[in-house]
Amino acid sequence: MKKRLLALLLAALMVLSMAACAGSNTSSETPSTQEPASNTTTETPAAENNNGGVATAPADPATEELADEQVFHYYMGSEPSTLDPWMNNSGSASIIIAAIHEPMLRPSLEGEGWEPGLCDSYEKSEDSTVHTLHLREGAKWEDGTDITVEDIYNSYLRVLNPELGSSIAYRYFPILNAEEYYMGEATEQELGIKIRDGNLIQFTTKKPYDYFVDMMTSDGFAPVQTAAAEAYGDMYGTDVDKIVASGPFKLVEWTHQHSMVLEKNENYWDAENVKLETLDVTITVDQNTIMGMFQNGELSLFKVGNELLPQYADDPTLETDTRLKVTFIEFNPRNEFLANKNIREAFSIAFDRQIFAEQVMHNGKLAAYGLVPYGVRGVDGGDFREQNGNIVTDASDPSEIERAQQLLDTGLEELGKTVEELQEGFSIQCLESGKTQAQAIQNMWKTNLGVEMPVSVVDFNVLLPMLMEGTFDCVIGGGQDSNYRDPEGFMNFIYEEGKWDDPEFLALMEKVQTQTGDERIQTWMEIERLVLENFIYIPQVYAENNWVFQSNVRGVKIFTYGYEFDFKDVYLVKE
Amino acid sequence: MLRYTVKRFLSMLLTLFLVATATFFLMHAIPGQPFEVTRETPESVKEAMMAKYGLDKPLFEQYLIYMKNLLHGDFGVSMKYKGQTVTGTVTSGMPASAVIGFGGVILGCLIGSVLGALAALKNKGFVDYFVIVLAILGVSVPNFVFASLIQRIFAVQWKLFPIQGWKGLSYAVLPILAATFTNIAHYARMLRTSMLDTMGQDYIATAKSKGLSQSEIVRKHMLRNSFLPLVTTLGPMLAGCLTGNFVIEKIFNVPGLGQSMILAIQNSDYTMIMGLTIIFSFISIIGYFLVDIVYGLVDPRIRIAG
Repeated sequence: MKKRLLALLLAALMVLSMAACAGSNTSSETPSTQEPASNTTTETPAAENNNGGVATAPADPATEELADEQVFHYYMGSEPSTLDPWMNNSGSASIIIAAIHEPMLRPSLEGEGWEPGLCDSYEKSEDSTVHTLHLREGAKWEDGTDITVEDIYNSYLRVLNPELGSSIAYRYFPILNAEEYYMGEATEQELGIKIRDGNLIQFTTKKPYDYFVDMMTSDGFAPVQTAAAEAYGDMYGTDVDKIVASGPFKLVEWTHQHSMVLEKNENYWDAENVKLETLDVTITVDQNTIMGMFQNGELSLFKVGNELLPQYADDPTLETDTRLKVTFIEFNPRNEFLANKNIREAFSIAFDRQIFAEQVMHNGKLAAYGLVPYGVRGVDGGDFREQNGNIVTDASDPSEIERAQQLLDTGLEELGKTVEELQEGFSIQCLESGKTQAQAIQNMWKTNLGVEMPVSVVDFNVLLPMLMEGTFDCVIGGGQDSNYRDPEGFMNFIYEEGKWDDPEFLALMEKVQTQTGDERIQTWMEIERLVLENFIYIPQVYAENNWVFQSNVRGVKIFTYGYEFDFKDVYLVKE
Repeated sequence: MLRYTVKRFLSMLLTLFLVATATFFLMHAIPGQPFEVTRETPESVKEAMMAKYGLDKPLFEQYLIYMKNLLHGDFGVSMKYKGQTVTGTVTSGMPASAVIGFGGVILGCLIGSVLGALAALKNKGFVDYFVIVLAILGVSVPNFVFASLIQRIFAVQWKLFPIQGWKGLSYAVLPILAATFTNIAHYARMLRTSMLDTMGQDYIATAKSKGLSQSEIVRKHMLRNSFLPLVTTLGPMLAGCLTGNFVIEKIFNVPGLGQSMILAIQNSDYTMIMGLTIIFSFISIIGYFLVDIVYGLVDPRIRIAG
């Protein structure tokens, strides 16, 4: 009898520890936009509108009235290391930064992708190298002083001073002579930023930048008050008393590693249209806690992870937003086996993206057959991905498997090597977070090609130099995301890293730097095809986030690039 | 006693010095840097950042600078969270961690000891098996499972306590309960074994043959001797109180110390790692020092020679 009781308890214990494992999986999901997103829905991946963003249902003024308490409860997975727009490199902090600091222009879900922000007009020269913005009249800082063009100008001088120590200073290098100024090789006069009469600020870029407007809508280019920046230096934005708001909200409380409270900024230029009084932010990473808070109404939104998606699939408040990100397998052509294009192509085909997306990422429509995700500007205002089509083929078409096997045989023959030598010849590198992905792909290669490569988990700080110096073999789960809705963001890194010296590629890259408009996009399409047809970068999946909201929430704007949420138009209705 | 204290104090300083030195060099041997580097970061920015943090200097020079600052009591500022000093992080995180840590240990020790003693006295009875099962559960169920479980039941379903946060006494109940659970198991198991061991000793047989009543034997002879192993664990427990509950702190979003260390290591936040290691070592050493003294009080046989 006693034995049976013990057995029962042990069984209960096993169930508990299994629950523990499930718990640990979900808890790694945080609302940070830097994490690889991996969610499921059944909608098409095409952008839902021009900019691919979504907005929660607008209110019907006839039937709904404002709730008495206008408080939105938001959460984030980790403490922002700074709320200084010019120092921040975290996607989750961007959302708070953009709520406090008004960007030069606001991103928009319609039209050209922007609407007035701190500036009310934007013009670019025909060759896309000179960009002029007009600062709106009467815009004020939180403390009631005027926002001036000098504040904008000084923000750039500040970040381009190496003494500030901004790890993202390079993001401002598109401006003419910015890198030279940073390195002390150019003077302030040579810098491509000028104040012009009539509250104008003018940027000259070092090459044509069609998507300069995307930079202007990002939180990273939102000016900071000169007086505050001078007073706090690199400490600006690190605490509640070291930040001066220009956006719809101001920071009033910050308990580090725990919570933040933002309140409506009465001195905001568009304060009369801001209905939300308080934005309450909980900093917590535990997924069970977050879900419990949402169920108790203590959170206004909740990021639905893979495992939970079926449970929320029919939720009317479910919003899916694609994030501009792609993950890929990267082969090192310096490896003696991977130097052979036939072998690389064989591995690319033997990787079945469709099954990978469905079973590993739990979302079939994320399967990536190109390097540039959906939602990026294409020719004639269309979608780049739709226009350039699916470029790579894979084992989801069964006839391709045979071809892959033939390619592998041909490749090995060319090298005079055997399958056994190939298996010893290279290993798969991945991060701890990408281990499941790597094992799934390892398994596909084994099934489809009959070769098994060992997987080794490497720390990010070890992997990065390996990638940069070219001492890796095959990295699974690497990725590229972009703050801008432009194909350049997904391919320029190949050129910048300089590992691939194919003359055709280099010629196209040099050509694209000088082009503008549709011509430029078309060259990028050529480059994408060239890159993918060389099978060095093998696309895996695109990214997507899924959110559910409390039913009384209205007006949340969700963007596919840059900062994910805009709270300016948020309000709550009576139920 | 004074000589002993002075000797202990000096060896403590030496230990701290060795800990600081070892941590400094080990930490710099780990790949990575306190600021984020991506595939896009150009060399010019990397170099400027290294210079900004003084990481471009030879390692030994960095070590000397750090030690000099340390002698002045300056632990420095976090490299990742620039607004937060090491001492500030410790002082702001200490109270919450201490409440949960000490609450958990004290409650766990009390309940666990009672259960352990009962189990030993009713050896092989129902109570004994109950305690054994409880101890197995307590030791093998990870505390984040238990913490999530009580959070779901008491906070989400019954809404008796807040889910997360740190704004008053009611916020401390569930975290302390979660911290207590593992401790109960730990102490119950330990005291049970220790009591059973004591029961077999000759002096208990002597006491029995002297004609002492059962309760007198338990109170005067058994308990005191059985508590000795418990006292030994108090030293590491003291440091563990402040840093050992990081999972519980994470689940209930308690602004405590536990997570600071984990975060610091993840971020290669050099100053934070150094500062926290030294402070935690200090607390541990003090813990051991106290244990030595308490040991003497509990067990006259090993009273320290002056």
